[in-house]
Amino acid sequence: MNSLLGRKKIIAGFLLPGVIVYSISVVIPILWSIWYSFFDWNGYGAKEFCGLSNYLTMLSDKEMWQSVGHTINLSVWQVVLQVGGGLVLAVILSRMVVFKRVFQTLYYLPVIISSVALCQMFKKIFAVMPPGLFNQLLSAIRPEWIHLEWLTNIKTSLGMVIFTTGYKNVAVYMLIFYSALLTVSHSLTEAARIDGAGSWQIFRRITLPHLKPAMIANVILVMNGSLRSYDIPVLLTAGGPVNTSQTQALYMYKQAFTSMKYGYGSALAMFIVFESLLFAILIQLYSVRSKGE
Amino acid sequence: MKKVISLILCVILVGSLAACSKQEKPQEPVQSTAAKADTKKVYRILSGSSESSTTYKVLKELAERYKNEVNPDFEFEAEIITSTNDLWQKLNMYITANNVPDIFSISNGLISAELIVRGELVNMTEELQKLGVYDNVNVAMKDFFRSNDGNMYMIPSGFNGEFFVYRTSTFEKYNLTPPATWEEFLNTCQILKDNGEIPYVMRGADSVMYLRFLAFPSWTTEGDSFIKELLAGETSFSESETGQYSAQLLYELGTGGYFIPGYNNLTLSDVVDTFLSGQGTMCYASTAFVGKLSDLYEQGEIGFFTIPQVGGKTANGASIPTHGGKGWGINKKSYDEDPVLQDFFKYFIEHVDEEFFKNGEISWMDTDVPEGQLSKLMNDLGKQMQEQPIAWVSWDDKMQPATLTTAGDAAQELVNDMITPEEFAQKLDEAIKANGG
Repeated sequence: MNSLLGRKKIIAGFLLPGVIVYSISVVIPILWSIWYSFFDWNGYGAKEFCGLSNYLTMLSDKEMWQSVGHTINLSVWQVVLQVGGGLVLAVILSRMVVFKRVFQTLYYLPVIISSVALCQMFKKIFAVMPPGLFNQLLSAIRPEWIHLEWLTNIKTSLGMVIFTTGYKNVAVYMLIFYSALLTVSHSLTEAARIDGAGSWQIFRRITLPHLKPAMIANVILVMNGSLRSYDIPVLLTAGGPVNTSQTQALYMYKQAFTSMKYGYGSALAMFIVFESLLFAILIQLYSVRSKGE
Repeated sequence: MKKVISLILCVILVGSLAACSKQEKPQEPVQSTAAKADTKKVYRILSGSSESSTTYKVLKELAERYKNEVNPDFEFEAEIITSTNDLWQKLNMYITANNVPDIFSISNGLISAELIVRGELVNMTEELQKLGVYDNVNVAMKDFFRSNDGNMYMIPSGFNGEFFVYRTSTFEKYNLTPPATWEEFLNTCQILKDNGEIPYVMRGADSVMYLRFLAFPSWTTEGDSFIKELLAGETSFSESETGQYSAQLLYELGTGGYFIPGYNNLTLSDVVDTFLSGQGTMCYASTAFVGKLSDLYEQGEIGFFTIPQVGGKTANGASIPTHGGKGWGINKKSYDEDPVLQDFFKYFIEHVDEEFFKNGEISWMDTDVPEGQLSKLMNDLGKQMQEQPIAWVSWDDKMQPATLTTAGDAAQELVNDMITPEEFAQKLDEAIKANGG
């Protein structure tokens, strides 16, 4: 078997189907988008070559950079909520003795509920007219809070998108951390305890370093997903009000399909692709450097 | 032996992928004739009106009647997209993919202009003339759907009118009367707000109602000349008195605190439902909602008023925006090649009046309304609608999509006091110049 798998041609043969599918579904559309980004096109008329004009327009497009800012804001918070929150939930789960499976299932429920259903639920919960569940509960504390706006307030709409996105996906990273926690050597923690280390010291000095590879992988996954965040912003707030919760993916969609500027939309899509690549490379470089140290 | 095993495994892997992606080739739809048919074609309809709307009900009921009375093989499948933005995006995708549905909702605007140039829309003027009914079409509807070459390329999906609705008890409580001018409208809103009432249930989920408020002043004084000149670059929002008035009106409405909290998530349907649930004093509605409003109107609990006029300016008599909604267009290629589709269209035109009356609305043909067929609200509205000198001029259909997006975004900024009316006018002018309309 080892000699069989050692042959490069055989390995290439097994990899080939996956490479073909990946090329068709990812690489070719990216190349196609790069091509469209050099044109001015409304989707059904003639394409007009405009060179780098779309990319130059991007540099001075205030709304575009606002959406990039919102996306980075969302991404940073997702790292805190999903990675940080996932780690906390995993630690709690690992310490539980009873009802572990029940809580594991309950925590994971938001992941399997579709984004459409989840956003509809949240829209009802945080509705203003008629008041949703959340405002009704708040009005028990102060009656005037019954008309608080959450999804339609320019100050809180992005926060609501961040919260909903984190709530939906945190359990995925909880499971990854939980699996990693199970591989922490028992003998190490026991030895540390015998030497007088407390729980926090054991967590900081033994568990966390052990979880570092999983943490870096999770950060890359979360950043990658957050930079392309589209479904929850569009379903929950439609990027509003006044584009205050508009992410760069949503802005790209608006330019391409609502404003019918396919060329400019393609250029924005390329920006998102290269931005995601850059973050992944930076995080990997940090990981390699810290391993070296 | 090992080579053989590995080759077999590779083939199985690739083959399994190919099998997964292989799709059952659907049976090619074969056209059926009115006389005989061996296989059925399923006609594709793209509708911008919901299943509960009279527009869709009329089409569906007539399709079913046609199937029962004329051609049992007639089948259709409808795709319904009620969000206007999403509808145009879907239609554009179908156009790009050369996969235009057989019958589809379409407005008299840029998309239809493109399809007309490509020869992909049936010339409805010619078809209605062949059927001998063109002269019966309401004049305002002909005006609303007339394209640049003077022909209609879509038929109205209804004869719609739009109006403001108000709660009579609240108005009586504060001695208010339906406002006749925009100044009175703002004053009414202020009095209601001062007394702790919610003045206006605003549609804010899309940009349609913002554009309505911007368009009303010019429509009631200049008809369609302002928007035509604006988009042709012959005038600007910043420099024209009309433009400045409109921007100021929207600004005062938005920043006055007159809109219901949470309005940014309300669609047109949500607005009417919210109003009917007892929230708010005024809202904007259309004849599509007459069914929901009739009972309250007959009980005297609600009233309606027409579009307020611009104080101090000469009105042109337009007071109720009448339009044919999103018209029904027919794919010319499908139509020319298919006698069944032609036959269905003929049947549709012959019976469309009856179906509209049955659904409690007036038809887009100038047909006499049978006695007692319509509700009191529809009767009262209908009389005024038929007297309108001009049809509604929809800015949504006239502006380039990119300009419309900018206008919608800028309008949201304006009502949230993030920009001034002057800055709003400037943004709109720049967008019109950059996008060519």
